[in-house]
Amino acid sequence: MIDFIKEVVNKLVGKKAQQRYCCKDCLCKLNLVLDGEASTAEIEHLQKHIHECAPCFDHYNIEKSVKEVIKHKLEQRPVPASLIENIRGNINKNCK
Amino acid sequence: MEEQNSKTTYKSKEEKDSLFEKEFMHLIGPLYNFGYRLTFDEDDANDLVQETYLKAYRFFDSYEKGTNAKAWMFRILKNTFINEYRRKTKEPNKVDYQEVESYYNSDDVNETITSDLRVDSLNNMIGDEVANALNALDVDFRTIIILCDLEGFTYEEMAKILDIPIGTVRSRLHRARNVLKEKLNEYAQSMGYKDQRKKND
Ligand SMILES: [Zn+2]
Repeated sequence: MIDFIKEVVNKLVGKKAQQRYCCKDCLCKLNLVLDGEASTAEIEHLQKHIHECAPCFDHYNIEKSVKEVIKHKLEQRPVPASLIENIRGNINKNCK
Repeated sequence: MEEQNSKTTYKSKEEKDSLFEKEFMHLIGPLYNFGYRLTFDEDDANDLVQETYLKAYRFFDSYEKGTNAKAWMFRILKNTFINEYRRKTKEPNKVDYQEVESYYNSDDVNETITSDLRVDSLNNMIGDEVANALNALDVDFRTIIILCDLEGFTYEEMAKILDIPIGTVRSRLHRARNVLKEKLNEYAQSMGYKDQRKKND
């Protein structure tokens, strides 16, 4: 039983280890670049690197796509027609 | 060039009202949607936005022209939400934020969960599935994703809106994205199973 648990744990730990990326430094910078927070040098370095490194290239594309689905696929709810008038009324009532 | 960071001045109430509307009324769409994504309720979102504008009007004199109006309003809305709604509202099945935070802190913060999430399955997702994945996140994680990825605030602006240091913005964003990717992957996988079933029929 204990061996079985050990085996499962090792599998999980092993899997986790595999998920770690080769280029830690790039990965930290990757989100900075995508979020528009990186310096020019950092952007250039990452661009150059992802041309040579397949795991970082894949990771870059996934992170980019996650940002894009949030930005473009979420439906915006229309503002209720009465809201602006209610805001004005509310302000006039409470702030004279 | 217009003078930056000057206090807002006006001569009459009419002038104040007109300045106020010009500065803030165009933000009503993003503010209403932010309110809705925090509360999941149209009436609550409505009240939250009204309260936000009322507070903004009251503090209009301390608003400095040239500062980011959108960040200023988002900060007021978020504080109003924390003070007036979050206490009242008990989110069902809500995972305690601290719990989530310590769990994701337990490993190296730089570690990224890659899972099997693929670009094409993300592209095939519909808006509702993306919304469900986002809505499944704890409110603090949900908030930071909205501010960064949907509204495009800078780290510095988010730090001000949320009253947290920039380092915390970065680590919270990182953890929020890991959980979001897990949720998106769950949806992608369930879609995959459905597709597989269709093929087998
Ligand atoms: Zn690499």
